[in-house]
Amino acid sequence: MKKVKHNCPALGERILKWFSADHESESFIGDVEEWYFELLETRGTIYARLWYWFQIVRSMWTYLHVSFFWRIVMFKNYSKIAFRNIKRQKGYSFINIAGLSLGLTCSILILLWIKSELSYDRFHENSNEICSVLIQYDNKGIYQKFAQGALPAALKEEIPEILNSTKLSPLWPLDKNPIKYEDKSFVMTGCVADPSFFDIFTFPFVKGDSQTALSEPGSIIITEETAARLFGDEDPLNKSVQFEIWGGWRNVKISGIIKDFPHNSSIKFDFVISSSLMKRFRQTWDSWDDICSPAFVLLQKGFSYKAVNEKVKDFIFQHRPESKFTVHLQPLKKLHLYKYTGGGAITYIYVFSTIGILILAIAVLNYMNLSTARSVKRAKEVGIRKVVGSDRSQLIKQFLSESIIVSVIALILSMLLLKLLIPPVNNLLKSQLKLDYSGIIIFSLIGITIFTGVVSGSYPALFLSNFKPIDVLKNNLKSGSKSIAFRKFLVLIQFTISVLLIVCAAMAHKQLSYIKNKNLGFNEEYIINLEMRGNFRQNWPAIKQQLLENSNILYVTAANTSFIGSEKSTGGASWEGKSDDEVIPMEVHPVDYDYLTTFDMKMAEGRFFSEAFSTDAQEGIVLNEAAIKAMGIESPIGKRFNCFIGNESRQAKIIGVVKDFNFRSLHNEIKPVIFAIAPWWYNEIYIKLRSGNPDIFGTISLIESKVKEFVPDYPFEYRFLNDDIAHLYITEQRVKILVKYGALLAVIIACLGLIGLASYDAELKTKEIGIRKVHGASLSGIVFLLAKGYVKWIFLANLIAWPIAYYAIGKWLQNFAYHTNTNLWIFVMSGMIVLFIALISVCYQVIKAALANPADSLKYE
Amino acid sequence: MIPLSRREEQVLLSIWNLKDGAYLISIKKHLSILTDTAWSLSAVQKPLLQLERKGYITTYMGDASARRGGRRKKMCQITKQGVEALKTLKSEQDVLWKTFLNIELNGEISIR
Repeated sequence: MKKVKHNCPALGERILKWFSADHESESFIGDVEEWYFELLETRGTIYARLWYWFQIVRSMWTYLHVSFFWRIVMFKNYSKIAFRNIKRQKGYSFINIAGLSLGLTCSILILLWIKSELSYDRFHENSNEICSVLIQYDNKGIYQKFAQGALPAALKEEIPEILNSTKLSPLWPLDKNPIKYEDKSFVMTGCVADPSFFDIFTFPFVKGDSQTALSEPGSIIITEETAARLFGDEDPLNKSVQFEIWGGWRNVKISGIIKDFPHNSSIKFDFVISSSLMKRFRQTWDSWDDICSPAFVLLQKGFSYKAVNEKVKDFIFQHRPESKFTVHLQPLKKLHLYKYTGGGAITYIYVFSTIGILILAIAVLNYMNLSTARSVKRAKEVGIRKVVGSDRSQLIKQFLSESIIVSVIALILSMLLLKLLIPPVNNLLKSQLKLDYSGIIIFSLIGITIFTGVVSGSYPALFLSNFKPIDVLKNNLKSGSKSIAFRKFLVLIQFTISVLLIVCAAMAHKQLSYIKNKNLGFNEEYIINLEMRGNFRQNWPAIKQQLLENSNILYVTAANTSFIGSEKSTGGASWEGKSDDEVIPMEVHPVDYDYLTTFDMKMAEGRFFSEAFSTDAQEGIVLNEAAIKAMGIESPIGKRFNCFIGNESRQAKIIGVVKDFNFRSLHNEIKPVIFAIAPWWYNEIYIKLRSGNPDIFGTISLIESKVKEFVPDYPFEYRFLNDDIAHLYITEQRVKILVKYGALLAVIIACLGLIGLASYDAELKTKEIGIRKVHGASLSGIVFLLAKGYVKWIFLANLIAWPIAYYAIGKWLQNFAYHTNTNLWIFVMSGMIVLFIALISVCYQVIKAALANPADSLKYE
Repeated sequence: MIPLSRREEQVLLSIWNLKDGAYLISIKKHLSILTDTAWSLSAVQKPLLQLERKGYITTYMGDASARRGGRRKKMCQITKQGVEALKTLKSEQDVLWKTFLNIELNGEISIR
């Protein structure tokens, strides 16, 4: 016999052992090995090896087959029991399912919202390589979107990693411009862009050629929607339209139509004109001296924006050594969330994710609590299963399957809820959430459901599977003090979260009301705002005088968009007592004589402009308190002050200081402002209407007809000033709504849990209550006894929640330059509210138990 | 008396034949030679388990050998019920096969 050198493949041996049934393994593996050696001799190594591995595969297959089969059999059993349990205890099951369902719905909504926010601007082909160009003054302070005119082109020329660049700017000086075709005219949002704009960004053309569409100065590109409004069914291509800019109508030809912008695009406009046209009106459009337009660049693939950022930081300095601006690139993908210029959505993503997680946590805790509380009812089942031979892991699997099944049912319910809720939510938040069944959404839905199921079932599974059969069968279940304590701890957490959310909601509400009602420093009520178009400005004095003839119009004044809107600042002011190297950027607001009275502002020192003083127009300057503080001078009245109003240099004296007023959002501090009479720079008028006027809209149409007398060509559009101001706070408004509903939801779920727990508790105590009643306890005495436990825990929950809430709110309020203070009263109120609601939920159960007839409860003694 | 399947019958008979040395491999070799078909390990294993469950054979652990990696063999031995089952089977077979053999002897086969 040949000496056999080969051994059985050791790995194979191990696998075989693992996969074969225990009692068979020794002899079977021995048999396999023996035959292997026979095969080695008779058929050779290769055949023997192949056969050996085939045996392994076969046994693996059998194992899987068998275990899979049995797993399905067990799962069928588990689900049968689960459904029976659900049906048998309808009340509790409903509470569980409803709670989980609400939690899931909330989390899914938030997930959808986060997905939508994260998807902004991703649809461009080059979205990974596009960066927004920002400049920063002197390395401190805010980043500015508007950059020097020559910057983008120079970047493209000189930096090899920058392949292309473009400018994209809203039309100056107003954000909306009238556009006219034949007899139809509308006011629309327009932009001006370089021809390279469509090479960098992907906005598909419905008609026209993207390569050449913006090259001609006389070309204009509109969106499908604009085309529908202007042209109806006609083909717009190559037709002539007019739009108004700088006091005149310009003729342009439609060279292309692009598809409407998707909801998740940061860039949106109704029409766009070519920068070659812009250059005719603003010769400095491409120069280093004019900070006139936002810009974007396209990086070469594979270059990180950080590396290029380092390179271009001092770019402006290289071209204009006296400039103190540095260049920063922000990738397009980060634009919506982390806007360097402020207002990115990222904080809200954190806030809402936290709320979603908290609410889901409450629902999960509910399930845990309720399941373990009712565990006594399942104890017999557990005991018998153990006796018959089930081991602990099987029991755990059983209870986990139950919780997953409940979770899936909750998911189905929440899908229905979502279908109902998504339209009103979209309305409320002006968002566009959509339950599109794309891969990632389905994946996250399943993931969330299974996660919820597993987490909420984990504790009950571990707890229930721990029952010893002997205790069960002897009816000797000690409701261990450990488990009761843990359950109470879970209730504690639930109510802590609820109190937390309520306090946050209350504070959010308080802060927002504060902002709205805070004395802005001026009165924004009953003021409407019109834009000056065409030759309005030339006719301004006449129009003003005629408007004032109407008794319903109190005051009329003019300014420009710097009020509430865009910033126009200068760094070039100098004054008596200013040190030479000090530069303080200040905003410049052109005003007219009635500005102060129209807005009901107050002077701190000196006087406002007045027609009585003829020198005011050329030599008078009014500053605000912030300016005086920044300049650091005393008794400013009469001091010299030189600055640039627009492009015009002015040598003037300070004639007055106006009390600070908030002309931007209360997020920002009040900046120093220079006020001057500059009629050539007006483009907005503000009309103060009489508050007692019963027919506001009648007055407005009178104004319209009066305006149209002077500027018939232009559509008449007006806005209420307090609408504009409210718009500044729209994100806060959303947060307030969401936190409010979040808190409401949290309390509802927590109370659902409490109801379940209380009714179960009451059930347990029926005997005790019966005995007490027999001994003469009063109804109120019993109610008090039962309720006492809950009050204690809610009190404790409050104590824990208050410091956490205080800290979180403190951080949020820091966002605002002006904020209300946190008030102890709010915390107490929230605690009271939670207590009250909890007691109401509990009281029904408690009273029902207290009213029970002792004869019934003691019958089986 | 639970009836025997064909395979079980073959395996049981070979256990009877092999007397003291019947275990999986020896049964397999025996059957492969006698029936002139290849019997795989599982083809023998399954009937063996069935037979044991039905009580027609008993098993005991036998010697180990180096060839088996130090593992013991599972030796099989037929029981009284097993013998009974085989007898019953044979008599049933005889009854059914009798007419077939008669036809052979007579040399005439009429097939309708």
